[in-house]
Amino acid sequence: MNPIEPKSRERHPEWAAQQAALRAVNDGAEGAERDYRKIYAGIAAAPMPTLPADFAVRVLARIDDLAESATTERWLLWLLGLAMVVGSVLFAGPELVDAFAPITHRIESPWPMMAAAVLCGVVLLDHAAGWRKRWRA
Amino acid sequence: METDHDIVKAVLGNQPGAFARLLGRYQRMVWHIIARMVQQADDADELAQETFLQVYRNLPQFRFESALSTWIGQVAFSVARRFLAKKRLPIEVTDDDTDPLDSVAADTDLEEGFADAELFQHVATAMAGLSPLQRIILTLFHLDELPIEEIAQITGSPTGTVKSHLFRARARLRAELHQKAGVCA
Repeated sequence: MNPIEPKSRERHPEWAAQQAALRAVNDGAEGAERDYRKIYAGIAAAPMPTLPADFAVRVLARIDDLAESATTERWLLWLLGLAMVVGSVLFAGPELVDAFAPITHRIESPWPMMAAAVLCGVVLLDHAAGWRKRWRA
Repeated sequence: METDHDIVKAVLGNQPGAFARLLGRYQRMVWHIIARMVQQADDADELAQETFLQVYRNLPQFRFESALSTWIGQVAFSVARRFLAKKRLPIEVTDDDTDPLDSVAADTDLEEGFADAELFQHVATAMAGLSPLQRIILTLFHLDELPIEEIAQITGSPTGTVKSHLFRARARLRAELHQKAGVCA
């Protein structure tokens, strides 16, 4: 696609004219250099679709909606989590106590404390990656 | 003046008006990237909004490994690129057989050929004929005045490729304008 290699391109007279026009020296510019200066002005001033006046207002409204739905989602997740914990304690708890009873004797630690420790460990591991990244940044 | 670090911290801390400040600072650059790539005002509007929604969602993951402007530019570029890919429009034209340097004339003067407003209109028309990648590189360099290295990061291209696109796109514009000036004269 590009038959002109970078090194030879930088020795090309057109490249020199393009670069000279960039330096924006207004006196003594001729031919190609003057053309490129015009083209640079043209690129900056060429008509293009204009940014709608109410763009920021619309984006901020969508951001507010997004933040609101994220908050609602977080609350729903908390409620769901809480319901699951309560449900587990009420319904599965007694059976689990029976099931883990032999283990409890061996490790001499009540099972809810063990489960909580495991849960805390998992949460800590999950957050540690984020903290490490932030600390490095 | 508020730094990018301050703005990001304020947005992440849910300070009122923080995202509006970020938006105010970068909406122009995002608009230039997207409007130059997709060229349709309605599409550009939707995609520019999508860009800022993605910026808002992903800001907690931003670690300042690049400038905030570069990162936001990358988000805008990838949103526009995905849109073009969906429409099966290539962002880079590979069958560039005709060398623009072959058709650059030395005996026509653009300054004499066109009045400014007319020239700007012709530049816009000629730019529409370039590939989206060339259009965005030209715009970021000449309108937003970003350095080549930052444009390379935004577009995910090596700096040599960005320079090559700049060179060929400008030469192509000059060739087309000369052709128009020749026709008009």
